[in-house]
Amino acid sequence: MLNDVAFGQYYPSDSFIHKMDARVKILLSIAYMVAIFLVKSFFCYAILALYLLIKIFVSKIPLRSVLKSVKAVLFLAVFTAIINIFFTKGAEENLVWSYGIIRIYSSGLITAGKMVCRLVLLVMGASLLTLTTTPVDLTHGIESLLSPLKLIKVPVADIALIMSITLRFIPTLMEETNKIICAQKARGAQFDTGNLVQRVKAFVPILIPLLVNSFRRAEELALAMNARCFEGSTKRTRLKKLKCSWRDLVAVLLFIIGIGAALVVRYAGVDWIADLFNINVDWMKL
Amino acid sequence: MSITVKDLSYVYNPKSPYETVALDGITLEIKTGEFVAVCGRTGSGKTTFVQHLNALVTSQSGELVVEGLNLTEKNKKLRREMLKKLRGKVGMVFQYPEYQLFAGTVYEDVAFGPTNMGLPKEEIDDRVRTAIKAVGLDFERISHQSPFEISGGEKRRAALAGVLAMNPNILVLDEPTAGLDPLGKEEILNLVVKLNKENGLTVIMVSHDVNEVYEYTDRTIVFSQGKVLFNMATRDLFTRVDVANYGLEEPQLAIISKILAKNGIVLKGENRNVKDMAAAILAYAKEGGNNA
Repeated sequence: MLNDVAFGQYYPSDSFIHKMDARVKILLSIAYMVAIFLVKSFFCYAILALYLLIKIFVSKIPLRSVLKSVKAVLFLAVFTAIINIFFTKGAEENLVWSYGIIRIYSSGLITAGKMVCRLVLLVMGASLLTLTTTPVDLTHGIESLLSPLKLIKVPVADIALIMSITLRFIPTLMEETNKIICAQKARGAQFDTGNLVQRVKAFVPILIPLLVNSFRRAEELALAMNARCFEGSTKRTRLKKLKCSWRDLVAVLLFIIGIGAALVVRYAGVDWIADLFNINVDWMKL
Repeated sequence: MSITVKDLSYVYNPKSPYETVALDGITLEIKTGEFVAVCGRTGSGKTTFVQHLNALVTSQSGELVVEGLNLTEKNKKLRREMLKKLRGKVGMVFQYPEYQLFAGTVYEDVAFGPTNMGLPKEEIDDRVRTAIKAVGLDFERISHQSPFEISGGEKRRAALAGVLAMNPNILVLDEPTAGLDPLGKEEILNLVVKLNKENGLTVIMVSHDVNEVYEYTDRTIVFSQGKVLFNMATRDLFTRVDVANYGLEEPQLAIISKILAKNGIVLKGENRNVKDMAAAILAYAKEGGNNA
């Protein structure tokens, strides 16, 4: 029942990307997301998609697993697309189809298409980060990247601790939820029938035990940490240190080529390609 | 026949790196009124197996018939009807059942199952009273308390009452004594035996404690890596098979029997608990070892 929630769950493999430094992966992912919002034409999206596909291929993760994350935002994508198609107003000569008060313009279709491209690229890129990085590495990476903030008294170590505890307990809570669902189902509880009020009510027998157990667990964890003299503020050392290697350099170079190409097309235009190769480039401007 | 299983298999997370075979061609039968133990190491598939009995896991391949209901039914409408009947027939008590209590009072919590079955009010009230008394709790004192206020042992009994209130024919227990003190263990087990002997419930108990398995159950099914390793009378299993070779502990009483047998002393009777064993040894000693 809850298996779909775990999209973007770490996918073990020994690929080039899996072995990269988590910090570099995080930074590149952020830059990639910014790039998605900077570029505006379908041709640019195609370049980014190509870059993403190469990344997926190198990471040895089956495309199916990456696409699962898209499934999670499918509703949002379809919804934005529909809104854009029906509510974008364009020039009269761009009218594609009309029926009564419904008027669809070609500009609306284009905006909708771009929105969907953006969302899909964004989610796939983000899920690739979590698919190739263990939660532990991810937290270390974030902590390391945030460490300059220590200078202005931001409790980075505490934030990292909160994050790692959260990540650590997601599978535990998931398992526990499944167990409670099973137990209540065995007592005849039904979660998929009845009207909305009945369905919401049906979740009470799951939420209350889950909440009670979480508090109990939190208390036990706090006691266990106290018993071992845990102190968040002291300087801590790590078992596994993050290290940059040649892999990260190669990744950064590839990133610059891929994203750079898209940005060049965005800001320098494509007319120079027309001059250089003497081909028609109007389709690239869409 | 209460439960018939044929060639049942189950795989978790198929076609992913987390793929694990939990059940691999299980075939067995359980008769009405039996008290059966299910043993095996962690990850041997025993929990997946018992969850199949209540259709909490949707079967993937094989046949499974419980109390005349076909659990492998694919037709959606028929399956829904089957599930409704099944929940009233198979009562399932999970590990640490006290963590599933949720209602404002013990009474409401025990009434949860019968209410879901859509029974009339008087019948629910009747069942709740009977169930709470059956597990040995003081109805007047406890029924209006919050399930979070009562003691650990009482919580477990209250959870058990919640399952019994559904009047099941089959009771499935997943490690019912885990985390209880010795006295609490004995009380729960005696309660289960009483339900088995007096009310005629078929009981299937998952357990890691071979001593309690030896003392209380008629038959033991041992799982290993998703397969049935042994399926035989409990006493035969622990006295005739060298279970230590299969990762199982030996019950203390079985060890004593074996040592005595090695020295030519064969006791009368089954001697499944300490008292019987002591009596048998005494009887043997009185007869001077000639009449064994």
